[in-house]
Amino acid sequence: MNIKELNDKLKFELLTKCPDSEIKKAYTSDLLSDVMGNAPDDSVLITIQAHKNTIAVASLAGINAIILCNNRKAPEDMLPAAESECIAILQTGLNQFDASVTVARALDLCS
Amino acid sequence: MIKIEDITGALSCTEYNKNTNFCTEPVKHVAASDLMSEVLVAEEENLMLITALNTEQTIRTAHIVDALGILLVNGKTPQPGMVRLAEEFDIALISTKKSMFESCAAVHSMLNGEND
Amino acid sequence: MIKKLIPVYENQTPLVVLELIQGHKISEIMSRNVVSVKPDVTMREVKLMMKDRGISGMPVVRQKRLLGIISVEDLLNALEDGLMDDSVEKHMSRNPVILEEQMPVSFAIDYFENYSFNRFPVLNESKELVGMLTDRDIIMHMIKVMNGEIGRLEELAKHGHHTEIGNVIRRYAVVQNDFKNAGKASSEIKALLQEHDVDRKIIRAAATAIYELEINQVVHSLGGEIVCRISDDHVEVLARDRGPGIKNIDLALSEGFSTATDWIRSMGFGAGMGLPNIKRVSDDFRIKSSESGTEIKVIINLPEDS
Repeated sequence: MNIKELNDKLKFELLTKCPDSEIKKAYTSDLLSDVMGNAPDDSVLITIQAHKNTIAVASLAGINAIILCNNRKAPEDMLPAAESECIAILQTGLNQFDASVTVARALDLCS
Repeated sequence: MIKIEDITGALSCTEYNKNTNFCTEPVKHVAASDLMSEVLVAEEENLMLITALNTEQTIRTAHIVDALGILLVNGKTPQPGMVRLAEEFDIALISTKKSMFESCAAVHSMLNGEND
Repeated sequence: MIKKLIPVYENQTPLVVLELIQGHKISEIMSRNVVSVKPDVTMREVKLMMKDRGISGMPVVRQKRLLGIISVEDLLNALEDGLMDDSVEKHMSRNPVILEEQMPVSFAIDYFENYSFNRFPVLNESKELVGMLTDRDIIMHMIKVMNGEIGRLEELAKHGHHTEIGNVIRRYAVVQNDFKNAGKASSEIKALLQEHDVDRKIIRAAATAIYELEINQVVHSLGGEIVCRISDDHVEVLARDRGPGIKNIDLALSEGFSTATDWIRSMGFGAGMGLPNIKRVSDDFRIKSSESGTEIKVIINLPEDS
């Protein structure tokens, strides 16, 4: 499923341009070292870490989209950094638990 | 009514501390976060915390919000001192090999299944 | 845990004694008539000055700047080695441990406990020498305040008034980057409030505020202290640190803003929720900050017993 198709289901707010990348898996974490070490390729990251370093880590880990929970505002330098790395940023008022559940349903990853 | 005991079974968890309510008190709410100040915003009762943060501060935070238990993810082993503190505060401490994302989905379907 | 030699931080320390050491600043109790010497004075002259004035040490100063301390021990060494015509500068101890005039007296007591010196130079914000503090100054000040306070208590007792009881005060030292011990204050206060059958929501609010204050000092300050006072109708938490201060308080109070490093985030903090959390749970919240430290005072009301 590509990012646009995913967000048609999620209906979160898209803060960046929408690259045409695939999303196969999802990973929830607020620890960047954990994201770097464990996040799967072609995934969407669910986090509250709204800052530029998240983009750098996401790009290294092969993450194609980031969902910022609890309506965390992206700092000014975060959005251009995301676009230059072809990473989409979505924002939601849901917390990490509810956002994870919503994404799991949308990706049909429920156990 | 889903208890920490049921979650331990469903997510093949390792038990590090079984609190007094392990098999009796139902989990009604879940907070999933690695940043402890986020967890402190929680106001719900009968809370279970899902986190990858395995430090003593995880236990202290859970204690402040009166959480029933902590589910460590990614197969994290508790740091020394964590188990002792969990025992002191009577908080369940279990660990699963699943990721936080997978744990959220699994726990949610357990809690929801119960409502159906 | 090192056993404290000065028994004033025990849990049972009366309110007045804690007021005394935390509520007063060093500037109020130090000696201002400082006898100092210039660096080019000879040791022989120093000997005469000390003898005449009956003192055992002096600051060495050039244009209000403190260069060092010269003590009787230095004098004895010079005497033994026959170097009494040397300048003070050659024999003084350099980089002396200093106190700042705005510090509470409790800091001075800690210093006397941690260092073997008998006197500390006191500097103002512009780093100029403004006074000296000896253990004698502390004792004199304490006796003075105790006289007043005990006099007041005797007066009260005569008239059959009840003095405030049920006040509990706890003081916690917080060390920079010490994640290990952060949270001990909030756990203890939580347990105390539970003993008093305080409402769970209020306990959670108090524990949250104290915990975030502890974490703030661990993460962002050079260290400090947290003083919790529980009285019949409220919990007061005073958190004071030794700097470096908050540059923009409004920004720090907005959710999500954080100056935390990746290392702090890897410890589970730096979500930018600390100060907003404290403000959210407290009934009164005051903050002031400068380069020499941040002071946050929080009140959480305890509703009357049902």
